[in-house]
Amino acid sequence: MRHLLSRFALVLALCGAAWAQLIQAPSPMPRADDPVLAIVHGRVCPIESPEIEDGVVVVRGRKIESVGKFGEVQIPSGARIIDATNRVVVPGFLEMHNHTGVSLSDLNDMVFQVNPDLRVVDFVQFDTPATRNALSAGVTTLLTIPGSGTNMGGFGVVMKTWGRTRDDIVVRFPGALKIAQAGNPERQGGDLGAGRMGMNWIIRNTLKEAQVYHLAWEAYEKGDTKVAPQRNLRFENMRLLFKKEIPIAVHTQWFQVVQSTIRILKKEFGLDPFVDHGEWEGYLNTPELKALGMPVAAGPRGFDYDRRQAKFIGIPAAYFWRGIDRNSIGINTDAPVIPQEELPLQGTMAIRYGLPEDVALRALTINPARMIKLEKRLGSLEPGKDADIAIWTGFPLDPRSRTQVVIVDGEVGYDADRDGIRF
Amino acid sequence: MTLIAMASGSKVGRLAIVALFVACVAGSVAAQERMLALHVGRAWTVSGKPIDDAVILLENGKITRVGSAAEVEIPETADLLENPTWHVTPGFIHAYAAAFGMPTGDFSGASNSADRQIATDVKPMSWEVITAAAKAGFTRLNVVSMGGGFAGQGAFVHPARKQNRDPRADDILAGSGSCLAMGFDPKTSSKKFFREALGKATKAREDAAKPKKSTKAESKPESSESAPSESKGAESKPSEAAKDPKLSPLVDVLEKRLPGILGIRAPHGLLHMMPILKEFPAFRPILLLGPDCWRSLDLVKELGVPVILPTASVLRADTDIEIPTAVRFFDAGIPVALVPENPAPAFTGFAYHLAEVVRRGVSRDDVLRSVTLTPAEILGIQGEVGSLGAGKSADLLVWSGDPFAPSSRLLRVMVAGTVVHDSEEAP
Repeated sequence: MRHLLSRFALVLALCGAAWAQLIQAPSPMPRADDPVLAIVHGRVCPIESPEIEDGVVVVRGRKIESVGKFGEVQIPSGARIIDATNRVVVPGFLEMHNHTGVSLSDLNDMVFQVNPDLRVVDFVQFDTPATRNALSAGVTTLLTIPGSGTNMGGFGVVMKTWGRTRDDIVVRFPGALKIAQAGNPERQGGDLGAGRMGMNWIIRNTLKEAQVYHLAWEAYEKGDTKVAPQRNLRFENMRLLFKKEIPIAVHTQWFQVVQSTIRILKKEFGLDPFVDHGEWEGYLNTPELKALGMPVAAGPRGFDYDRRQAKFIGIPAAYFWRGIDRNSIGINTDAPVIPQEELPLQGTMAIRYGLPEDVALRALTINPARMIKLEKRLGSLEPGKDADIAIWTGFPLDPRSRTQVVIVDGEVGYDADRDGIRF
Repeated sequence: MTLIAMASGSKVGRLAIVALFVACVAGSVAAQERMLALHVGRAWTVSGKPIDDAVILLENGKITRVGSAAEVEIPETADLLENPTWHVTPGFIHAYAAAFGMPTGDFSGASNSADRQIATDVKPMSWEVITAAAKAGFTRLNVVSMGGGFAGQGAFVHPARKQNRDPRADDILAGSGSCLAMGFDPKTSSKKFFREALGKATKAREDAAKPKKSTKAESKPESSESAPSESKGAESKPSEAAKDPKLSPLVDVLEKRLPGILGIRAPHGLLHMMPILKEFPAFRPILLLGPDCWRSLDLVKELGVPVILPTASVLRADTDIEIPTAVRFFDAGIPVALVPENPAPAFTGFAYHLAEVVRRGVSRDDVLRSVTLTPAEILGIQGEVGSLGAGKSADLLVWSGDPFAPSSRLLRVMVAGTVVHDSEEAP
């Protein structure tokens, strides 16, 4: 027994240095002999650069090799050609608030008020009806997070909606920490955390403990202290927050709760939270959110009857027109609250209620990629980025449009002709 | 008069008289219909190809001309509404508006209310219900009462401009006897009912076709009530059975004088109805089908009849695979009239549901046709409404852009040239 324990301790010591690191799935750079795919003649919306009529997107292996005008871009010989005449080619969409990438019964463990040691990565599932439908609606990346049953539900995972193996689809773990500030955790009751005072205290207290832990380790790693602090698994993943490597997906809504997101998570601890939901009068905080550069992933409620203005308002539009810039606004479904395949329709509704079309398209592509700090890899059509591409029959946020082909990591995951129209 | 008497003699008075005269003339001009010209980005004629940069001329509640701006000259006297981004489509026609404030019938599937004219029952509940239809783009609704067996004859209703009083039937009524609404239940009683009624109606047709031998039919008990007035009729009239007000509408359906709409909710309903339909080949009603009836698609195809369908998709049992019912029918080449899933006044979202059918693979032209010309054709009113063409009623929708696009709005709804919904006035 003693032998076992000491061995265990040794293993712990060896692993120690690597613990607080992102586990990013290997995304091999393309090799010369990787299969090549060329999408030709479509209207290409690269998002970060102007639209290209009669464009070309060349994919090699899992990555985009080139994007440009037909005739100006070299199409490698032997490339598989996908004709996208009269079609619109956009990046795959990203969902910042998903629960259907895992089994729904596994989202909330409510033993403790805060659970920073829990994680969803161990039970991601793929090729389920839910992920298949998401894929067929052009949604290629999900931030799958725990539920909001407690103030800290655990760590989420960034995953693709299609792949050949489980390792294939996990993009990054941890994806983000899930914090639910109010508007759900209080439902379970209890002596503490049934009111907003208690919930704020417990979130602040946990972050404080994690911060102290992080600073102690940081000092040791820099050589400022000689004795290694005691390893605490509970706070290990939270160090990534303080290193600013991952964001916090904050279930926050209503004016006061968004206020405490700003005050506690951003101002006090200097972390990178994004406002997830942000409904009701949350948009009244826009000046402060803007000043601090905090992004908003609005939804699933896309519109609301605003009693102050006595009319219906679109929530993403309310943030946008009050000053959240076009690079910081996102839209989510909270799937399965709204089915994951209806993410484009959330964009449609945002447009219906006043968000400009180009901003709505950014809100489903590059903006969420930036929120999860993966903008170098996802969210636009640029050479070197993941080949996650959707070919639509028209403007993707028009409810009359559907996807024709959806490509994930360079492979055709969905083809309406091959698989039948699913969306 | 007193004003004129008082003011006569003075200069001011003479001016007043002139002013009064001008006002009278202006008033009389306004009262008579002025020509309205719509110059818009695109007109979806439905009967033909869409026309870009189109001009539509309206006069006395009718469309007098539709064509491209290059072809159609806009008369100088016409009022002009001009916007290059606007699109115009024909008004939507609701092929089966049940529960539009109407009483519902017996649901046994075996009761006969064929003699009931819904037109006499049209009691508009409120302006809200009427304007809800206009707001959704409906300019003509075939209002029926729901029920099994023969639920009654429908009526055509159109939305009207809201007024400062309670709505009355004549505000909205556009015609009676629009169709015979029927409902079939896969039950023995309902089968027996349809078989008997169809047997009698077929007999009545045969009798009418024969050279008359007037005394023979009188012995029939069904026709005993109407017998006295009938007995000495020498002119060629249908037999007594056909004069039975509860049976004659069915004869009219068999003679194709009256559209018959047969509601069948479940797919097995059609399976049970098939032997009856085979027995009576003249009985080929329009089918009103529930969303699950895609399972009976082959039977519908065999019958070669048009269908009225909700836009809804259904889930295949025990899966979450969605079956877009309407798409299956379109793909099979069956004429489809799409109706909202929800009864009035919950028409909200209909345009979106149509867009969804487009997304599922039906062409935009076909979807637009399914709410305009197809329902007009199956109800026999295609000469009047359902497309944009000279001589048609000026029932049209003005959209701020491409119809059903997320950024487009329905700006105006016109019924016979009158604006019944204006998005700038409505909340």
